[in-house]
Amino acid sequence: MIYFDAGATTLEKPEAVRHAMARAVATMSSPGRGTYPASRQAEETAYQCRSEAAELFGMNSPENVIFTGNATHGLNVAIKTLVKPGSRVIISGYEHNAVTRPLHAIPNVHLTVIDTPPFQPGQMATEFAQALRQGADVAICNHVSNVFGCIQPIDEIAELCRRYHVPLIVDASQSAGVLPVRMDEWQAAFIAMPGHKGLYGPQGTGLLLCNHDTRPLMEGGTGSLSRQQQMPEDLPDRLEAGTHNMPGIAGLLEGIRFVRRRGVDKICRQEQNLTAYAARRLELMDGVRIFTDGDLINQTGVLSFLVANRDCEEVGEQLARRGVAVRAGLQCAPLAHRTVGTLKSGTIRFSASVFNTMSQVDRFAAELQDIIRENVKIKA
Amino acid sequence: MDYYLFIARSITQAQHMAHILANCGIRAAVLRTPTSLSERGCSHAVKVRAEKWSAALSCLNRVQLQPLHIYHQDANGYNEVSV
Repeated sequence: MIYFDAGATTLEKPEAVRHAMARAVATMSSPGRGTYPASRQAEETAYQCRSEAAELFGMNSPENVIFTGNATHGLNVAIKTLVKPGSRVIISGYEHNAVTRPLHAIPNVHLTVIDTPPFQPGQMATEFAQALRQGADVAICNHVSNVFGCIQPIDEIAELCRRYHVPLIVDASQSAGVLPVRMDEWQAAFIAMPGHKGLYGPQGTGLLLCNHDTRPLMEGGTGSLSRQQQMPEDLPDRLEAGTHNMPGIAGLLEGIRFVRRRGVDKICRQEQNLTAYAARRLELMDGVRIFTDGDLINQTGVLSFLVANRDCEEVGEQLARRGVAVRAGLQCAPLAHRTVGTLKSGTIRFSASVFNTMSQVDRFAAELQDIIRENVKIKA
Repeated sequence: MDYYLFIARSITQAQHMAHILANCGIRAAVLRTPTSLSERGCSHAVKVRAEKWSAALSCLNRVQLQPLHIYHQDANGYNEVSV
C-alpha cells in the first residue's frame, strides 16, 4: 500500500520507535513509583522525552511538557482551563473538531471566527488584530490546517495576543516536526500536539506545552503528595493522573530524536517537494480542482482536491482498492470546509511524510487518472 | 554520612535538578523522600554531599529551580535548613 494519510497518522515509523516500544514493554514499569530498576528506567525515559521535546520546542522546563493521549486531549485541557461559560473566544476558520467540540460543550461561549480564505496569512493576521482589538478572553489557532495545509500566521497572531494580553492556544497537530514550533518565541499559553503524526511516535501519544496555570481534566494517583486529596499544584503531576503510557513515551522519544537528527527544515522541504509534485500532476488532469498556494510557501505537505462530478468518498474508496491510502470527507474539520466552501462536497486529502517518494506520487497520480478515465467511459 | 536533601515538587523536577547539578559538576542522586520528611505523602528528593550543598543551591537558583524544602542529615537526624 502507498500511504498518503500522514495528516491523520504517520504509518511508517523509524525502526528505533518500534524497538524502543518493545524494550519498554519488557523492561519498564511506572516512573516515580519506586527505586527499583524498572521504575528507574521508566523515569529516565520519560525525563529524556520531556527534555528533548523541551529543547525542540523552545522551553526551559521539562516539567512544563505534559504527556497526553493525543492532541485532542491536550486541547481539551487547554480549552477547559482557559474558557469559561460566557467567555469571548476568537478562533480561526480552520479549526478541527478537537477545538470546536470542546468549545461547543461550554455554555454561552461567544465565538468570533476568522474565516479568511486559505493561503492568505497577511489577511488572516489583520482580521485577528481587528477581533483582538474588540476584546477577547482567549484566542485559538492551528498552525497548519489539517484539511488544506495552509500555514497560518502564528508568529503575528502570537505577537498580537501578547500585545492585547489575550492567552493563545496553538494547535500544532499538523506542524510539530514539520515547521518550527517555538514556545519561547510565541509565548502562547498552551501548545498542543500529537505524538503520532510529524513526531513519528506511536498512536496514543501527545504533548501539551504549558506556559499558564492549568486545570486538570481528571484526577487520580500521580506517585506524589499522596496524602493530599487535591491534585498536586505543580506540573507535570498536576495533569498526569494515572499510569503513564511508557511504551508510547519510549516510542515518542525515538520519534523526536529522529526529527531532531533529520531536521525540521529538511523534513518540511521534502514534504513540500512531494506535495508540489503531486499538485503539478493533479493540475494536468481534467476535472480535478486542487486547493494550493501555488508555490507552496504557505503550505505544508497537505493537499486537498476534488474530482468533478465525483463523490470524494467514492474516489477515496477507489484509490484504497488500488492500494493508495488518502483521506476523504470532512477530515473532522467541518469549520475549515465551511470557510472554504467545501462543506457539502468534502475533499480528498493527500498528505505526505518523509517516508514517501516521488515514485509513490507517480503511482498515486496514475491511479487517480485511471479512476477519472473509467468514470468518463462509464458516462459515455 | 553528612549530606543534604533537596525536596522536589515532582520526580520530574528532581530529575531536572540532578541534571542541572551535573552540568555544574555536582554529583546528585535522585531518591524517594523518607516518609518522615514527606508531610503530604510520597515525593522525591535530590541528595548532595554536605560540602557541595551551598554550591548546589546557587546552581539551582541560577535556573530558578526552587526545592520545596532542604534538609541536612547528620548523625542526629534531619534538620530543615532555612534559606
